[in-house]
Amino acid sequence: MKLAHLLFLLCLLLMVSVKALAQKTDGGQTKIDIKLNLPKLDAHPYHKPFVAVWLETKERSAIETIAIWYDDAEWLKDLRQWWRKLGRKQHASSQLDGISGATQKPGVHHIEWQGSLLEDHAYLNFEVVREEGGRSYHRELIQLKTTGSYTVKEDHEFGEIEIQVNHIANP
Amino acid sequence: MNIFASIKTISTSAVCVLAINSLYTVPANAHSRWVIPSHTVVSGDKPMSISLDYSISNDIFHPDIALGGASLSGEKQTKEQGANPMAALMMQTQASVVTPVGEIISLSSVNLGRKTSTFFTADKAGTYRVEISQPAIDVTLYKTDKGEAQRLFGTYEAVKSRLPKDANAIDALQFINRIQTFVTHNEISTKNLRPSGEGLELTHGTHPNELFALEQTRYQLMLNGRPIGDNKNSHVKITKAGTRFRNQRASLQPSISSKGEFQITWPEAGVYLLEADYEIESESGKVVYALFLTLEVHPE
Repeated sequence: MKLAHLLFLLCLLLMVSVKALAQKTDGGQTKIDIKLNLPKLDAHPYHKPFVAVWLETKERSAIETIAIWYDDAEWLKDLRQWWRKLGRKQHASSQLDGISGATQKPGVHHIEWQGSLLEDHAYLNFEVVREEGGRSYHRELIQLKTTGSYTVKEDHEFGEIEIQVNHIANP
Repeated sequence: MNIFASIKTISTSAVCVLAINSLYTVPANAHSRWVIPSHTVVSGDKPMSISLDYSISNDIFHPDIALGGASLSGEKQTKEQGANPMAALMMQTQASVVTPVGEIISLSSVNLGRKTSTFFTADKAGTYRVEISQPAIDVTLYKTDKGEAQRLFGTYEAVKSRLPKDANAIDALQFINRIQTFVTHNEISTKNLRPSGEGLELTHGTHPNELFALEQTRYQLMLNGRPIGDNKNSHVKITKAGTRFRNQRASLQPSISSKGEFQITWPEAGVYLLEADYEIESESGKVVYALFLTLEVHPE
């Protein structure tokens, strides 16, 4: 009798966890809209900064690069966090060719990403480094399966960053 | 013992006396020797030059005594200079780099008085291992009947005819040093992280060119390619650059497990010297293995 009870409970538990897993992999899409402000800086000479935006898991494993703006690959290593997590691999295998862009002027820049991820949470990373200037780095923990907005406070090399996350459930 | 005041005025052989005297009591307190690369991480499609400076000094990465090398005019040291055991040792000091594919390149170097300098070109993707190698140093320590500590260069067998009759507390020591750092061009590789199987080395839980402030790294001390057998005779000391600009050295001394494992959480970005040593008893006396590894830690 007791054994049957246990088995029943075990079955229930399994069903619950299977259901949880199924929810994670239901194929819904996450859309991320970013407004990244590069501040006008009183610097002479002023060089437009290198910028990297990318996703990592909550455990800080690399997921993918969303944006990479640079000119000369010799200085890509100065985007230190991105370089170790994704850059050095993607550069070696020419994976940056499709996603990279030129460095950008000060102002608000829109960056969009849409994809399907297994995780409920992810770190959205921002790294900005400027020749003869400084470096700013921030990672924001975002929820991927819930619509929400986030604001990152300005730092030296970036102004305020607005993040809008929309989750589009599988129809 | 006023090492700092003395060093400025005495010759290299005298420096060695001081070094040995301090070694006599605590091997971990030997004068630091180090190599500092201009870059540890480089990127892009062009070959990259990496400059290397190396020296022996108490102030970490602030050079004091050059470690060999040709003169600026290109002359090698003469044999006469080589008769001095310390000069002979310097003459045999050799910088080399192991490329990501395992090729060993010997580097010519120049003596700049306080430091020795050289460079290599990283033209392949992957991790290079820089080594400054010195032959083993044999030293025989003894005390006179007045209790004064003395030393002679050479094994006990080699120097015993020159020992005074009243010599006591005779101790034969051999020092085997490894001076290392790692440099990566583009993608990291791990071939050069594997212990070569000679002397004191580490296994790296995190690639040495991917260290960031506030992150933890695990290491294991390896002697001749195998984990060290005990932690009784081993020391690890990790010191950040810039000791001359602060009053305390603030070295980190992680505890070492019986298998030689230890871990460190990097407190802040900077260049660190990791010094490790391990002492064993051999038939001919004590052997002190030491490792001097330069590591760069990036800001978060």
